Amino acid sequence: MKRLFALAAMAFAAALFLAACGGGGGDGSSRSSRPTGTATAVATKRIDGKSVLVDANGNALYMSDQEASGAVKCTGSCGQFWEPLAIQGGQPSGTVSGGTLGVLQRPDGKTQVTLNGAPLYHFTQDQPGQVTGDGFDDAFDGQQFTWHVATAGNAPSAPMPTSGSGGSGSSGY
Amino acid sequence: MLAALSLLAVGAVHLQQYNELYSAIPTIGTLFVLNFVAATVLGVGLLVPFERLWRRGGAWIEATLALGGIGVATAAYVFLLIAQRRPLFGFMEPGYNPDAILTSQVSEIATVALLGAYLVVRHVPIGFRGRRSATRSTSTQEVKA
Repeated sequence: MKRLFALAAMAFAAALFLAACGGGGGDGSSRSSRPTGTATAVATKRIDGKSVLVDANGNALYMSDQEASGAVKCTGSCGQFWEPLAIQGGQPSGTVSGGTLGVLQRPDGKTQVTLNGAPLYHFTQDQPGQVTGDGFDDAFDGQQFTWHVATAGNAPSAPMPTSGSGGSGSSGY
Repeated sequence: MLAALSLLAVGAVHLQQYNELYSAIPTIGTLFVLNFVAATVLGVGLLVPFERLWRRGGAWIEATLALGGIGVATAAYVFLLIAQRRPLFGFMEPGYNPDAILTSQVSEIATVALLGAYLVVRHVPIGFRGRRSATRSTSTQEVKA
């Protein structure tokens, strides 16, 4: 009898251990907020054969089809998965061939970097140099999203006017 | 024993994913916690030898725990299948963490299969009837003797 209870306790402990260590394959680091600078840099990096837009830390950047017009729809729990590329002031540095970097004001008051008016995000499950969220279809609070990794080639065609601290204003075309 | 461990694994994956990602999602996050609590309670319960402790009611407790475990694993599996195809409680799952999804689905299928097998072997009426008829024939032989 004592042995069975000991086994039960061991199984429970194993379950908790799995949970604590990331039994599902996560590394437990993705929830930490990525650093935001006063001048967020955006660059282009070759990942898996694609020229992908990345931030200063090499994290791939994403856009959603539903926000191509510049309207921020990824709010609330969406931000747990898709973290806005925030900037604390000024303009983002870097140049993107065929696109223009700018900023917009999010509903929560934060300033977010945009590409041709479309807000840019990190995927919280990515590690630097990885692109794992490209093509994802998801929904939060009933709002559906289709996410694409931002590349110089897939920037929204028409740059939208930016608000808040103001975008670059030029189209780049 | 394996079924109980498998059920505990179902709960553990849900707790880990709740901590990792899903805590911010209304309803879904709560369901992940409920899954962990239910799977842990039922899994630990299945490791307790109720039938040996309490001969009459123990078998029923074990059968109830097994049915509960099948229910928890099935619900988790079905909810994930739905959420992968269309929004469930406003949330749609594109497969953010394929490893966690695979671990969860394998442990859910194993739980249902193992607990189902346990129920069939130990508690299905046909087996019960078989044992009763065997008891009757033994009693008849005793009377004849």
